[in-house]
Amino acid sequence: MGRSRRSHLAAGWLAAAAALAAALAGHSGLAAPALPAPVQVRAKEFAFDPRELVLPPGELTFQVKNDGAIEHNFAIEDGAGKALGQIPIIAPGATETLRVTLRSGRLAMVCTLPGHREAGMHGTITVRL
Amino acid sequence: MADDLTNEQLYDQVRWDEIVWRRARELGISRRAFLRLLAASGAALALDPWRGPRAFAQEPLVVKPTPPHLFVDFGSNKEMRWENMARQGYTVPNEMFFVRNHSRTQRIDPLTWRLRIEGSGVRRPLDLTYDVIRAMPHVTVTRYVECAGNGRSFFEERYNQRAQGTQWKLGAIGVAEWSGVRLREVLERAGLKDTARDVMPVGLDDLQVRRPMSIQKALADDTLVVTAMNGEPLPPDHGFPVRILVPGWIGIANIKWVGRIEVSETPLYSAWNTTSYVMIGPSYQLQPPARGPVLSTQNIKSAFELAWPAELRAGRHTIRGRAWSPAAPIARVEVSLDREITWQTARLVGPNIAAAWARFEFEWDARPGTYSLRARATDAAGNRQPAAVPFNEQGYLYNAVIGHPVTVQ
Repeated sequence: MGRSRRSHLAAGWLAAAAALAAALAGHSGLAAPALPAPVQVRAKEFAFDPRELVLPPGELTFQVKNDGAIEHNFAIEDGAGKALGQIPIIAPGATETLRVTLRSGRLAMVCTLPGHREAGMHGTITVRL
Repeated sequence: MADDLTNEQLYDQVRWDEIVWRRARELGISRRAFLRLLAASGAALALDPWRGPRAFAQEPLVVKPTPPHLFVDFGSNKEMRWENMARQGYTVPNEMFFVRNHSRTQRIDPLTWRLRIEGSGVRRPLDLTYDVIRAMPHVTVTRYVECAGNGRSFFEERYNQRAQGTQWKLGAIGVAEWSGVRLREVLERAGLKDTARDVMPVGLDDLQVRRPMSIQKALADDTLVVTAMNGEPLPPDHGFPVRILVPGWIGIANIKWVGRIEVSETPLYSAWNTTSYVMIGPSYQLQPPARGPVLSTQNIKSAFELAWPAELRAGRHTIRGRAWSPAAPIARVEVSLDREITWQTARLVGPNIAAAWARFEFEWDARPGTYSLRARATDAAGNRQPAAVPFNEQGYLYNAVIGHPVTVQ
């Protein structure tokens, strides 16, 4: 396992831990239920960073920044290729937000612009407690 | 855990391949040939972007100047501003022509470049140099090239749901005089077989954009290997040294920076005719190996030569526009100034070429107020712009009548 992959996985676990903490805080009765911290994803030609995410089920917010020079987008698909949520287009330099509720399972994140998925713009999202 | 994830991806890929294979078998493709096709398409895309050798953004995405008064900027894509066509003739000058790049403009040395013709559909695979192609008999045709997603932004206006991809208004189209060698003659030099079925030009761009066409379309009189655009050598942004012109078909068929043409006795597939440039949405069915009906031709549309939104001074104006259809010359353009309560017929002016366009105009004694100008074109084959177009995820072929916002002061 390369260093970059480890750091991607670590980022995923940090996000999951933050989300769990936020969820627990929401159940304390002292504060209004808080959403987990946004999951940060970067897009560029032609990949997502991180490529692998492990996240808790429930409502999540993805902030996807296009660090590339050309347009990209971001979709979360189930195993059958059905989109569970998407950002249809992200201009170069822009950050767009997707709020989506995910259930436990293994999902894919992809850029659906022509040829981008095939060139490497895909990753995995594992949703579990 | 990482391995599990990888396996999951592999599993999905295998399952998808099985679907594709089932369909391919129905079409008479041997297992061996099918695996070879898959391997070729996969190997071509083995890029490693985060550590890739190519600094993608180091060079400008587009070579020609694209100032904001001529183009709307979408990164590698540049939309023509229609108001500038009001002072132009029939064709769009090269410096005003829209740019649709899947990645960026390729800079290709014509001295080392070769066009390779190969595949099971030809008897004598061959390489052609730029000089050899330029010395072959040329023909010139006037045709449009239009992005399949031209008008995509209007899906959101209509359905309050944004479609995937560049949010063009109507400026992802241009008409030019294209000069080149008939693709038919190039294929015949390679010993085209009677059993050839599909022809797939492959671009030399970062994504190796490629999409097949039928042999029937490849053999058409006006399907060309283009070397010149409006009398100039094909500009880099438009495919130098050669692009393919496939009149009336969606823009993606007109592959730029072509380095290879595959001719096959069996159907060909790429991402551009299975996962993209197909119709996906509630009104469309899965058509394995494609994820929906596969697009081929464009459809009838029209546009005003006005800024978006437009501002006019009160008084008499001649309002101009253009209408185009892949199927036939334009027969009629109706315009409405009162949100489709009444329609009047516009005058058609000058040349009227199928798979190019017709100019239209009408007089308007404009009074102060806000307007939504509508144009509705009908071609000689009876095709007319509809009132509505069903939503599709990738936002293709929006050709419903569109309201152009105009303020008169």
